[in-house]
Amino acid sequence: MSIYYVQKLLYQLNRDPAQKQRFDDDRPAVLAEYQFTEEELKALTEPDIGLLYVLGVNGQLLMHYATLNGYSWPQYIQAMRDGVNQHGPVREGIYAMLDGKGAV
Amino acid sequence: MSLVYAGTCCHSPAMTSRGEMADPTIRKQLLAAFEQQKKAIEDSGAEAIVMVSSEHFANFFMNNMPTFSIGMADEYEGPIEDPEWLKIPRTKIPANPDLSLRIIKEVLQTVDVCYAQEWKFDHGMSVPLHFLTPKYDIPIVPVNINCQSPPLSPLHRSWELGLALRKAIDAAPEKIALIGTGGTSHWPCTPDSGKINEDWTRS
Repeated sequence: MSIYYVQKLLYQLNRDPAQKQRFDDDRPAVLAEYQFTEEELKALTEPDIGLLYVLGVNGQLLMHYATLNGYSWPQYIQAMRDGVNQHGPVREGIYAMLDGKGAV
Repeated sequence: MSLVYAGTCCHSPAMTSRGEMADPTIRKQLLAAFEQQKKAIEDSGAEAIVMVSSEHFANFFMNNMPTFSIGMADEYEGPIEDPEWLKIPRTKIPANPDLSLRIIKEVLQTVDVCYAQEWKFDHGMSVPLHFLTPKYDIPIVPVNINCQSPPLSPLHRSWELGLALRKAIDAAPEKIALIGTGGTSHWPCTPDSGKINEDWTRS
């Protein structure tokens, strides 16, 4: 269930300019407000976009977090491919039904 | 009969945000197809558009995710995404809450839908409108299907929603266009982003 809170954070960053501003000003303080596993917190903090994808974060939320962290679109796509190579197939959510290997 | 137009189109944000990355020939075909669709809607005399999309966490989230929802706001606003990223200026979009109410009441006869009196359009609505009604001069009745976060609607229930919408539209005196947006086979925001299964989609 806890991937729910990762997605909730990203949803709120997209939806709420005040929360986005607070995140820009003090990331650790905002991250402390949610219930994350150690792996999730690490993935959000680094950030490890590929790991967030593998953990099951929906791309419609993740793409905006990637942009927020300075990723171009090709870098975002590559990060997900790297994530699958490094961490294995997507573990839950709508993408768990894919083979996880990505396009050629 | 008040359904005067029915059609579908893509709503990918790539068409506006990263249009320059596409093959110029395909891009030209795409823009020509949108122009043709825009003219067909104009020629139909549509006084309102019922636009069906899959929402992408702009209004609805997994704390309370509606399988189907229909907008009933006094006006809409969009896009919710960064306008500089999507390359569509943020604007007000006209609504018709009275028409929304009548459509929702009729749909509820057969399909349980939620209604929403606040709704910020994301690219699922804003990208098609950018191409099809760029002056934002036709009121919109937005309809959302949860296509993002499982469990999803079984396909036969989405079919029932379509039947219910048709019945509701035909019961209204206004001339109404129905537009479905999105893709039937694609993997947006994943490593397979940009691919479609053309054979499957055509079949």
